[in-house]
Amino acid sequence: MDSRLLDPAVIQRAELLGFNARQIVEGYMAGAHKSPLRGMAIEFAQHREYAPGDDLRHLDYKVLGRTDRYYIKQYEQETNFVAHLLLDGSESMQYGSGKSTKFEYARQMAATLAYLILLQRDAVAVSIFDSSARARQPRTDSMGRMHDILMTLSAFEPTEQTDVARILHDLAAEMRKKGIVILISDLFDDEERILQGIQHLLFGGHEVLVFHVMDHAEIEFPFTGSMEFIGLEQGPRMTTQPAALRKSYCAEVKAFRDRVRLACERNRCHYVFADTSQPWSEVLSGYLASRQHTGY
Amino acid sequence: MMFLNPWLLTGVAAIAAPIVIHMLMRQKVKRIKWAAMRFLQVAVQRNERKLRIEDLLLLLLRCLLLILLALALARPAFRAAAGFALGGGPRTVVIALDNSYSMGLTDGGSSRFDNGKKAAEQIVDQLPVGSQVAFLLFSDVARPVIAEPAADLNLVRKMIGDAALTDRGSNVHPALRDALDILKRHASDRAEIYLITDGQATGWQEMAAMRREVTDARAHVGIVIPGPGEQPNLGVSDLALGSAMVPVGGATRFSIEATNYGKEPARNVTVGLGIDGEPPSDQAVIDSIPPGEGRRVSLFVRARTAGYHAVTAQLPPDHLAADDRRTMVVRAVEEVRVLLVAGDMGTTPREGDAFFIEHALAPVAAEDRGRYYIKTRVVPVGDLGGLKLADFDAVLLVNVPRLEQGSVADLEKFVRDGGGLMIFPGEKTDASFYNDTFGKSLGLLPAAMGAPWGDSGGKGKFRLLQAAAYTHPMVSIWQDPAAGTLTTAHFYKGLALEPLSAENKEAGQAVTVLNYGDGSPAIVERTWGSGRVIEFSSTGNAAWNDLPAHPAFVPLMQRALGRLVTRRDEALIIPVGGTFAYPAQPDWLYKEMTVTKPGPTSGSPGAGDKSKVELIGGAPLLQYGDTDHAGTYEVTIATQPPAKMNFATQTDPEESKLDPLPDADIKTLGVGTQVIHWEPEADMRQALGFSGSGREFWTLLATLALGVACCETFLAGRFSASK
Repeated sequence: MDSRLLDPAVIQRAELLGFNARQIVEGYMAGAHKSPLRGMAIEFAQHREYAPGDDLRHLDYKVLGRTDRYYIKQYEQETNFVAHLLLDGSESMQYGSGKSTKFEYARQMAATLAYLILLQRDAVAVSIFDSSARARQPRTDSMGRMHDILMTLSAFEPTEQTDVARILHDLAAEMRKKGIVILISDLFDDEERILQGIQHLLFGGHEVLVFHVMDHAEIEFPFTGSMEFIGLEQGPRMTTQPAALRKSYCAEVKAFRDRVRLACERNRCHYVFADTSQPWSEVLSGYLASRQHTGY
Repeated sequence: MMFLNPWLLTGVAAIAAPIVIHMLMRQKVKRIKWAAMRFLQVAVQRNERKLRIEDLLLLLLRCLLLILLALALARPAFRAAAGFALGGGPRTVVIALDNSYSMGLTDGGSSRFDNGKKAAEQIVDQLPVGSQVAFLLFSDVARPVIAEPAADLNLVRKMIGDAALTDRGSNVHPALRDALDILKRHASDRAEIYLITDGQATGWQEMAAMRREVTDARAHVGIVIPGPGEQPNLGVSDLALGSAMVPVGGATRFSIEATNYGKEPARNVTVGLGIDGEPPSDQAVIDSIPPGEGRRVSLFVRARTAGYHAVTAQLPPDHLAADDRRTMVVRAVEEVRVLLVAGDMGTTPREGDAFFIEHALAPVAAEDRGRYYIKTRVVPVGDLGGLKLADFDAVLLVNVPRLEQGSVADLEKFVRDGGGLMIFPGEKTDASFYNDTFGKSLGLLPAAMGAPWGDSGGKGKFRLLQAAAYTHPMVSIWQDPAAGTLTTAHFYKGLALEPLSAENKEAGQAVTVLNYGDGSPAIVERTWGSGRVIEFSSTGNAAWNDLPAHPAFVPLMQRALGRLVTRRDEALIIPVGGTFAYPAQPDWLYKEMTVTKPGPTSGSPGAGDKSKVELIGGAPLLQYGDTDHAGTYEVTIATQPPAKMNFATQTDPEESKLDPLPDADIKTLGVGTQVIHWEPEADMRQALGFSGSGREFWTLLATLALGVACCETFLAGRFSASK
């Protein structure tokens, strides 16, 4: 396990706060979340086919004996949620003015979130994407799979252009049951398309949570002198006097952030802005505290 | 338009600098990989045009700044329009400014010299562009300040501004000659000479020669006479030692002449005399001095210590300060040792040949002789060989027939080293010995001893001394009848003296001190080596004359001794501009010599001109030549302890005569000579007949450059503010 991705202090703090489904989600295991399906508590609901990562304790051995097929028993009242962690692994996430890049910052957040989710016996699926899903860890509710998740997160190196909207649409099409989609990205893509992707997920009844990660230099633009900016993700090269453009640039960034934030809020989608100059642990803890306090 | 420093136009190429810097800065650009390019693109697109305009504007301003600076340094100027009264093109001009002391005359405000400098500056200001100017300062000598015509008129202005007054006399001729020489070397069809002088007649004494030279050169000469005009002026025209010598502690008389150089009588003129820079210790008031005349007064000072003392006579300040004071340096002595060599000692002292002279030199009671500063010793001629002459200041040969060869050699060395020798003939004197040995061989004798005249026994026939025209310093006191008379003494016999010309370089010209009434010489002197020889035609006792019985004998003998003793001290007083040369002591050789000039810096430590005591003509000599100012110069020789002495420079009293030469006479200098009486408020252009000029306008360009620089700084600051 890559211990760099998990900060024990943060996990301890976040563990206390918990990670509750913001709205009723459709889980597949008994958990701490209310299922949308009414009925007696811990009452059998249906079988579903076993998938890697499912707890073997819920395997229906009778059915196995009869049919030689692996089925999992599902119950109606208390349910687990499945959190889909979508981590932006595009080249733009490789930028970092400080000690770490946006990607490093984001994957630490993703690792911590995955750990927390597993810790409260919920399921998590992790995808690292750029223009398509590049690395995946299928959903699991087993803490034993945490190692695989961390290995996947550690091994990834961003190189390609991003297409957030496409990933969101693909996920919305794939997800048959309601769950939580946690998007961690700089959102340097077409905002309209991203919003459409989010709306697609929301339409499917999923809760969507956006962690918008930006480097501090991308926000403040503190450069002086004559500089040539070489665009990541096949962006153009541009030589200019950054000091002369600071005001205009910062205004543009602020407008972008405001647009994204407003769009998320209008669609009842949680939006959390993360400046990489702030410790990611604080951002995460702050969000979880807010979530527990509001219950929303 | 033309450029006075056209080579500096190459500086325009400096406009490449900002462009090169811009290119270099592009090379030095920092590169960074950037994710949020979409926002940067928007910001750039929104500001690109503005940024480009701002950059271009700044680049243009920087280039313009460099162009303006290069142009200003190249000193552009408009060509003057043709049609000047004196020609429209560039000229070659020599400006000669009089810095003799008469230019120090003021009317209570600015002096002639100050106004002369302003006039010179205005002449430069009015010159057409491209003109070249040489600048001279002149007094009785001409000194080039800018020896060759220079196009750098600012340099000329600076040199004019730095010019200083001297205490020298004036003579226009050397300046005019040098100016003509300069123009001869720099042939130009627009050559002009401007002499800025006070026009006093004393400076134009060589008019005939000047006229000839100007006519030959066909030069245009402008004479600019700055104000103020004539003013009343009193000056100390003479300061002389009235006493024979300066004994320590004794009252020493000085004769001072105050002259009225003005047009009105001067009344109640106070003359003061002080020593060593102290306030006057003795004063006299002259009731009235008629215009153009001088009046003498005698004043006394006491020297408290042996050595060199500066004695200054002064008048109340007036419009010309330089001649209000006059200084001389004297050497005060503790004692004077005199050896009298008698041809006949006599059976009693009274019968000795040297009796009267001895008593005249020490005219005090026998018991007081030990305290009297003149110490005499009388010896027979036979004892001379056994004496060390260096122990004496003067040797008097009284009726000495002839001398041993060794004594002759001793006397020769004695006089060469600065000793004084006085020769009195008598019955025993072998004239041919003196003529051959001291005359022909050594050239030391002032006059050949000729045939005797008269008869010492024939009391009916005698000669008298001259009755007037006592010009020689030894007898000048008898110019004043109150001092007594020399004419009552009868001379019955003597030797005919025939002054000898200088036979060698050690011998000075023979000078007749005093004549008989018939014009034949009675006393003749000459300098020889560092000493002096005085030769009388008659005896020093009553054998051939009755002079010893007359009151005038005592002062005559004392003054004669004074002439011998003060021989060296004559070098302590030189005219302004002269060279001080004084025999140095052997141990001063190659020691550092510091000369402090008179004036405000004289007291400051370390001030002064330093040089070495050099061996000149086989003997160590103190020499110093930078004596443009009157007063006391202090000389310090770096011995242990430091040896100190003074010398003084005196102005030429002729320079105090401020009478101007009439304009009509000045104009005879040459065809086209202009005489301009100029006051500071007058328009020089109009006075000189200039109708236009090609003025430079580098100041305008420099101002514009400054404005552009300020503008660039402001805009750069404003543009660099975040957008």
